[in-house]
Amino acid sequence: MTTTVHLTALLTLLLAAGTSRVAAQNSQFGIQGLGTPGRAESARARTTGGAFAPFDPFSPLTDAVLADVRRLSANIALTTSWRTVDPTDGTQSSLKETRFPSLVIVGPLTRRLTIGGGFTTYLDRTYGVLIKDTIDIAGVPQPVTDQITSDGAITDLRVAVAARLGKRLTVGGGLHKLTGSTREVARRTFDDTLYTTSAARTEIAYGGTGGSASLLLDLSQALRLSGWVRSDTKLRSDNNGKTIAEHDLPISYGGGVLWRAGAEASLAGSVAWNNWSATGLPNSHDTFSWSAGLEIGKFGAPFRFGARQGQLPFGIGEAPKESALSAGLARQFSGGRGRLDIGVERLERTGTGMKEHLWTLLLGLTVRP
Amino acid sequence: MKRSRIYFLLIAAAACTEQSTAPGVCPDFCPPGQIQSHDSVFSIIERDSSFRGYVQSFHAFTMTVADLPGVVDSRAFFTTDTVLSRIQAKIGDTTTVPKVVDSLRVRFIVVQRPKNTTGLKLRLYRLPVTSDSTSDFASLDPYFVAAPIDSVDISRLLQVPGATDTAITNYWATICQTCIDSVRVDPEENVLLTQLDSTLLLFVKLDTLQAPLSEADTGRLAIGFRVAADSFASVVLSTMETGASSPLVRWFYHYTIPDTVSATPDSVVANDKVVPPRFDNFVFTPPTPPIDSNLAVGGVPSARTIVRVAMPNFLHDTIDVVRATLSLVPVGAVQGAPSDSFRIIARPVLGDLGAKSPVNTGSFLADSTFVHIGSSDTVRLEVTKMVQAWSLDTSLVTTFVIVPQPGIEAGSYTEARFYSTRAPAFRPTLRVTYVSRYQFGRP
Repeated sequence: MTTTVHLTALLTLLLAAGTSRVAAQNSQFGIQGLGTPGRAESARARTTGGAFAPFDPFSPLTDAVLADVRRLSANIALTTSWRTVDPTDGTQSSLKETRFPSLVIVGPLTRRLTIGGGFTTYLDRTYGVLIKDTIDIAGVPQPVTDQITSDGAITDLRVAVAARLGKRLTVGGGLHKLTGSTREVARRTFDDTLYTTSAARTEIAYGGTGGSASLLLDLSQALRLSGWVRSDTKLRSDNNGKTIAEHDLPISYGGGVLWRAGAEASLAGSVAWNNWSATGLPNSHDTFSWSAGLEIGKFGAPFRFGARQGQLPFGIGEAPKESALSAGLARQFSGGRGRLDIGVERLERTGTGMKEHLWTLLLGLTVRP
Repeated sequence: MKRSRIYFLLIAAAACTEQSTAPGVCPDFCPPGQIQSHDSVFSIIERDSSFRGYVQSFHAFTMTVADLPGVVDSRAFFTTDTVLSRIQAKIGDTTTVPKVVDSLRVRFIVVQRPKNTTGLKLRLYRLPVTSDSTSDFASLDPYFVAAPIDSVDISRLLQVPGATDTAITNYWATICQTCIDSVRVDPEENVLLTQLDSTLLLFVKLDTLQAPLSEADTGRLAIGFRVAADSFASVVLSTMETGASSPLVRWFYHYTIPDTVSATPDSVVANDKVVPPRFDNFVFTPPTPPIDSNLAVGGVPSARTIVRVAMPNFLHDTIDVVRATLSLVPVGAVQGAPSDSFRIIARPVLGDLGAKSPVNTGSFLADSTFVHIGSSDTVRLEVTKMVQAWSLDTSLVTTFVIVPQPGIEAGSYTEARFYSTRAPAFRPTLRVTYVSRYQFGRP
């Protein structure tokens, strides 16, 4: 009983903190686009490069996999990233962010039907740029410093149902509500103190809906296939109740394969496509990504390794590339009522004019009250 | 213990500081929207006018003494209150005895002076005790052209080494506890002290020949001041309107108490009396010219300028004003001593009632600038705070008054004249620098 109370308190603490920072780690490549797409992955899936996401009920990527959960459970992920931004013609700078990228609560409705929901980051729009310039006012050069910041994200709220249609086939479907806001500030400071600082602030609200469908096919006890597709309506941006922009959102689809190579080893691989060029934004690109991961060891204390490679949807010239290596471990505690996932990820992004390097600390907590 | 470690780990991670701002690499990695600044000169000043008579010279907090050939000859004076020539020697005894005056000290404060002028002297003249607000330059001129009763060389006093005699320094420390620097005493026993605000506290010693206690005048005195210097002879003295900094006269006298016991000699008592001023003023020639079609600020009696601004609609709600500068083109350079440069202040009014518009003296929207003597450059008065307020609050009256700095208003001969809207080529203008509304949320 005491353990349950403590786990619930811990989850509540994370939820309370998480409401203010629901986002994935950001990228300078997303500033000119709609943002940086979040990863619909739990800490467990992330430490396997994302390969286990289609087979992990606590990764909000697919809906069918929810059927694997046979009692009420909740999972939250926490990431802290140290990012180095290295522009080709600019100054290197170091950034730090802490995010709560996903929360999933899931439980069975009936023997064959499972329901789940939660949130994950759809697009992270937290960034800040500092621009030093000299402008001409009445023929006199005036040095100015502009600071444009955006703080917030577009969050994907999901309600999903999964049903076992037989021994081998599981299907799932989800409804998605895109919501969230960004607090944006544009501040110009003049070096000449006769000019006062100009600061404009607003809060942009975002809205949209979407649907997803997925299936799991158990070819054998050791081999499992997954497929998924997702489509969203336009993303609406409102400023003070007035719609200022609407953008088409991509259709996403992908698949994965999981092979249980014995009782203490599993391998998985997955691929995903997103047609982000549907947004119509300049320098937007369709993206493809793949990942492969390994989980070895006992069920209660496995070690995980993973690799991924993919593209970012926004960036000048060709689509920026990203690749990552990750590793982690997990421990069950309180008699299986809780599980802590810990991992680390090294990620590199390369695009025209910019490189980014990230170290990300991953934490995940699963509770079964 | 294990659980504590988990809590600590999670809370520490959650409490990590955020740093998401990096130097922008524009335009490729910056938001598409840019902060745009604009600068426009508006001819939106309208119905500007000047009025005179707000403050009279004898109501001013200062009085200017200047002798600038070809520019102005300004003279100050003050009169003191009654001093009885006899004193009641013993309490309860109605018998009075005569006071015998030993000397007196005239105290006054030099608020402003030219710092690089040599031979700066202040001359004291004896004037009729009937001098008052009706006295003008011409009526007092005969007394000012007579021989002065005394003269104090301020430049020399400032060069005198500070007194080292503790009897002297301790005494003057009790007279002025907030004074800084040394006590300077010249051979004539005139004393100069420097106050915290760098004003000079001067004590001029006079004897009974220079300033006799006249029974006919009921002990009243009227003392006038003229100034001389190698160049730019001009000083500003504080007046009785300031209260504690007013000119004063301190009489030192003694009297003899008749002894009731014939065997002992009469006892002599030394005493002093500080006499406050009854009136002070200054007169100068040539007098301030009357108001014309131009805008006037300063002079005696003081003139103020009322400026009305027709704010265009777009300045109200689509921009962020970062600077607003009122440009005033002088009709000519203000003549005088450089040390007589003065500050003018733009203050908003509570309501536009023309010349009698109540000035919002406590408003934080006021801004000021200096009018420099001898300069015919355009005077630029920053009115950013006021225009910013008008931009945001359409209920505010878009009228302001340009007044001389409080404390010096009507305290000097100096007056600035600027071209008004009646002179289209040189009319006042308002330069406004503003930032356009930033286009948020449009990738």
